[in-house]
Amino acid sequence: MPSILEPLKLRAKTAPGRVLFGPHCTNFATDNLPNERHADYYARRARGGAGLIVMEEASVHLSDWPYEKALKGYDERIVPRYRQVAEAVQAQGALLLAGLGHNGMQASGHVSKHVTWAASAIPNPATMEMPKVMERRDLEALLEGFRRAASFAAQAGLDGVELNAGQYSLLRQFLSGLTNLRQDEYGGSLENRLRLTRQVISAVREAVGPERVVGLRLSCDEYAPWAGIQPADSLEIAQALTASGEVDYLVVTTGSIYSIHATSPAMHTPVGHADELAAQIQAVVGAVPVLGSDNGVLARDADAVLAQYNLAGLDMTRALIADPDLALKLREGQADRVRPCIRCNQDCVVRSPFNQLVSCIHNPEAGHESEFPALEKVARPRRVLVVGAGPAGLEAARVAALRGHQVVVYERESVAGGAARLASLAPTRTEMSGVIDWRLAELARLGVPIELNSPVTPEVIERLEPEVVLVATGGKPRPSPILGADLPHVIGTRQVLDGATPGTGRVLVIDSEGYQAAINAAEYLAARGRSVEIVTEDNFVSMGLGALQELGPWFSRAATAGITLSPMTVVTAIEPDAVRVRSRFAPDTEHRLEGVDAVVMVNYDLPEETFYQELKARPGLTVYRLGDAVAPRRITQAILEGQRVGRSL
Amino acid sequence: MYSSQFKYLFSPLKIGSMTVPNRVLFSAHLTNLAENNLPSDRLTAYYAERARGGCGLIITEEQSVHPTDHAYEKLIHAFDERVIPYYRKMTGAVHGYGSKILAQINHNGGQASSVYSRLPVWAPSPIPDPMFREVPKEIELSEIREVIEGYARVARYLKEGGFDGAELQASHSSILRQFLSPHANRRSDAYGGSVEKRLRLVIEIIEAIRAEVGRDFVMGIRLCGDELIDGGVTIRETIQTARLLDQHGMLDYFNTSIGTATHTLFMVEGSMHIPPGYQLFVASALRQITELPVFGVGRIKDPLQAEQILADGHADMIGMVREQIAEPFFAEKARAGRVENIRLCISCNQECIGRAGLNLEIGCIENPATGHELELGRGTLPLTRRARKVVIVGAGPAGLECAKVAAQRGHQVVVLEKEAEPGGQVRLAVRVPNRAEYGDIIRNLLHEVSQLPIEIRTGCKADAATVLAEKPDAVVICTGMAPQRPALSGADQSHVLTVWDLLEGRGPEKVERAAVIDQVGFHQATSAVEWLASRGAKVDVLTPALYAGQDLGLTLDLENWYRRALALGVTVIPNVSPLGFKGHQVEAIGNYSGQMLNFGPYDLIVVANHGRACDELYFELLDKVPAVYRAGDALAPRRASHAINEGHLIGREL
Repeated sequence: MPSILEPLKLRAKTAPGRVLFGPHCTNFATDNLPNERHADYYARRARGGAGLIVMEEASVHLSDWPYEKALKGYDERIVPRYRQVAEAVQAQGALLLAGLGHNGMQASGHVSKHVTWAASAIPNPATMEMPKVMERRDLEALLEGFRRAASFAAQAGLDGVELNAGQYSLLRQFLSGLTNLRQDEYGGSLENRLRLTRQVISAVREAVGPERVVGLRLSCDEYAPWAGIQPADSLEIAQALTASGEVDYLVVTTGSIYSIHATSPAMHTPVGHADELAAQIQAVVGAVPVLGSDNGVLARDADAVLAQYNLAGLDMTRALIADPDLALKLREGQADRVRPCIRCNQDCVVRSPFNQLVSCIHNPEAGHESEFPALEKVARPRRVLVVGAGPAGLEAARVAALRGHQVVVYERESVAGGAARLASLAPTRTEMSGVIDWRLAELARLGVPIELNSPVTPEVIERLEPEVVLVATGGKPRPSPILGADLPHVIGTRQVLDGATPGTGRVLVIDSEGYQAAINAAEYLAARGRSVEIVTEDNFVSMGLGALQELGPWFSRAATAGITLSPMTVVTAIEPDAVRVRSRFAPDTEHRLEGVDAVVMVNYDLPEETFYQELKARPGLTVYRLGDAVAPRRITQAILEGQRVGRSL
Repeated sequence: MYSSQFKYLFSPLKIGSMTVPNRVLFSAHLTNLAENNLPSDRLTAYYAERARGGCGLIITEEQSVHPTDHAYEKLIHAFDERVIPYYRKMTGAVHGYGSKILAQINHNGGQASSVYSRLPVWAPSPIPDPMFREVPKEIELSEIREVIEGYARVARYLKEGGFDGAELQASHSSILRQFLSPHANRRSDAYGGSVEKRLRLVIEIIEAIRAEVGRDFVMGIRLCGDELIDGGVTIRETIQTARLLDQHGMLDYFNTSIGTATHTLFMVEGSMHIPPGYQLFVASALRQITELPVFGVGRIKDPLQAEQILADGHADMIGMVREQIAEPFFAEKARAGRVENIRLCISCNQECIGRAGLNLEIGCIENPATGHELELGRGTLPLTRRARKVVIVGAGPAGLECAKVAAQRGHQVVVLEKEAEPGGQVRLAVRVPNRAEYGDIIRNLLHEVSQLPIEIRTGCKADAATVLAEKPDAVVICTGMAPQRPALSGADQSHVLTVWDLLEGRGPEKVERAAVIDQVGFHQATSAVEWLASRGAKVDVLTPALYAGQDLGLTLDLENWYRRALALGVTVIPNVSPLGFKGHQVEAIGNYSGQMLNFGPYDLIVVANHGRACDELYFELLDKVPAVYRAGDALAPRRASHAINEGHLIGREL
């Protein structure tokens, strides 16, 4: 089997490697066209050795405006913009393809103020918006749109196009019995359901000419066995769509309208969940190269995965967001230096009404390439003391050390990692440790000492004589105003994950955050046989998880583990063996939950800033504060501030 | 000119150094019309349209003072001096119509996240906001200086940009309100503690602005009368604060509000379920303690009501935001005594607040031109050069809007309606408790249509022959949707109804136990629940969504629906997908457990589902007339806003 680093020949083009940077929403666009930011973002990945880069999907027709910043591939003004990106990317050797598609009923009439188009009158389950059933002339317009958009990409000098029949795709909606109930020649039999995609492939092939690449991204399992595409169907579909020889490669993905979470799955889904399916597809499509989907394969395992599943390459989109130099590091034999994607989906899954720019919780440079040029050594190294070995402190230490400063890290606990380490102790969150482990390994390589069990006292400062102190002391628990919150059986998530939960009976988790901490505690305790209930005032439990596409999988795990979820519930008092609660909307519903012998309080921390305030008063010392010590937030802010402070020294 | 009918509403008022021509106020609100965090031509056109419509005073949306404030994507960053040329255009356009214009200055403080700024959020104390859920940084003294300087700088830019003055926001989403609030401000330094100390930042900002722009530049403050938060500001404290500011003597007026944008937004922009004028007690109270003009707000939408408020002495200016979003020419029409011609806001909150919640530009369910004044505003509808005979089938919102626009352009319009009266589904929606105001969509449209040479034939069930007999040049199919049985087993039983059946009165007289199945997520199911529960039924609502009324949050109807529904004994069962009805039982599957579940027995089961587009006539006529169009539910069953927008655009295209 070839290595992931070997070239891949596609038509007249040769990708210099088999790592694919797949199409994904970036929200970079201005006027719905690609720009400098796209060019920087893709060129950075090309420079790091990605072989094949597929740009953010561009819509092929004005009936499709899936999110506000979506690219309009049918607008001829896209040609010079494509060209700008192509020049930047191709100069690095990578192939650049345009992602082309139409979201069908998965678009939004809110954005466009137009009706959405679909195969059949089935509302989008995410929004309940009803689409228009496409008329004959609409189908013709769609084909023309694909043709037009593909020829714009070719005109601009791109190496080809990738067509989307995966997630968010009208083509998939036509292929699937879940969304296609048509009775004309585009619906019914598989032959009929294939018709539109076949026509699109032929039209696009004709538009780009014989030399450019046409790839196809295909959802091969919709996880809707009552009507949707199942793995067995996908074998037939893949075979049928590649039989004409017009498609040059396939990317095997999963997920559909009821399984958005299955397309870029978070860390709870097993690594490589769709690779076996990809292997089956590769077996039936013969000479057409099949690439595995973005499903968490680590760089160091890439070759083994190619060999095991007989695949031609891998979509490593999120891995390349986390570390654009992934392929370069592999080539240099430094697989262990690749900054690992932890599949948290916090900053990279940004398709939402809020237009957040794509980035990465532990690579703040992603999407902000122009803010973070390559690091340069300082003229005069300084003695830097970092207080606290959580994500903020470790990142600041790493960046400062790379710039040539003389850095030492002090940590008062016996283990590095701070709140992130703690979070990785939860049953399904072990990948979180990647944020810490990678930084520790980098710091070891840079020779930065990390002194554990070492609180920083005035004596330490006297002895080390630092010129700069970076205070990354993290957070501390916030007192709760709830009556009875000071009782001994009321604890925080720290104690839970340290194994210090009192009692043996029912546990109530009171969640004020709506994020991962309550889940971590609940799953940890349920796995140890405790009966667990999460209460929150919010409209539903774990409100923050929707944006991560983790809500559904977590609710399923909760159901399996017997964890009770009680939203819209206010806790009025905690008693030694019971908790008083009521509905948020009906004050007269107060009642006691009996037999509760442990209460876990999940609330936002307060900053641990005493040390900072003390140091700030000392003359002659430069002191910075970063991460939770400024305000307890998430890993993303901690690492961003660590990076910025490290660069500013 | 004084209108005899609305003497007070159309009397001028001196506010500081400025005299406004009348008492109609378009107060500050989020539009999302900014581009690249700067004002835009669209925003200018939006305000200019209301000035052109006679509004006396416009206060712009907030102008942010510091990069740490990026609470939402399209916030205007007024600390960037590039705003000034845009300001000049905006103020020039508004002044050209004789109106006055102030700009609101603000910093959202802790009611924000770092998503856009990638900087820590600043607030008086590290208390996370319930909407943004990010712990703010307790602002340090040097940073307070930066904020004060930011306010002064922005005030200077406003003055250079031609504004008549500025308003400090200390209300909905503001670091100033946070400092004033004992809930948000837990500081123990000079900026926290007593009312005076909590007011210190506001005073320092006022003084800094005065030092920058002088005493003549009009400056007011918008105060929150009651945060509606436990431990928050109440009217008692607001009176104290206003008294101190009045004594301090550097302000020219007080504007008022209640609630906050992130804790209690549903009380800031009350939907049609909240009584008109519900926030006026704040203005009324402040008017007792100050000689300065006081502005009142809160679901005020017709000139009679506004006149009464002025006559009763509750306020000096009448804030009417949503009314003028729907009807930019409110003041012009009221002054001329053409009260019937005023398009009334229905407080549905779907496109004004709802779109803001989706980070999209402002709109209006009734007025397609809102936010699109450059393309669709006054003066953009030319007469046709080639008058055509247009047959419109269906007199719902899409058909009536289309008829209106087509007739305004000079086409000859006939509307064929199969029912005995026009209105489409709106006729049904108004039958629900507290939703009668929704019917003003049709009242307004019918009035506009009645002013034009449009023939509406009710009771006319049109088929292809009927339409062809009219020899039309163009046909617009606005036939709406038809209810359909839900695609669930057992749905053909007589005790299973759709919401349309229920509202048409086809349900039984007496219902003991009812289930409402939600497959849409909007008002249909929640309305059916209230309809049944208010008639004494014990109601369960089953939904595959995470909670019932998943789309009611955007229209600010969610909180109060839950309060009303739970008080009526309604049980909400989320995360279940009904599969069918076995007799009087509902069989369902748990979305996440995969378990089969049984609910009931119920003597009535009501399903809120999507209808089917009535498109037969469209396809029949497709090749038989020169031009055939489709609008609204006949295209795909959706909301009234889509219907009206599509009807409008087709009317222009004809």
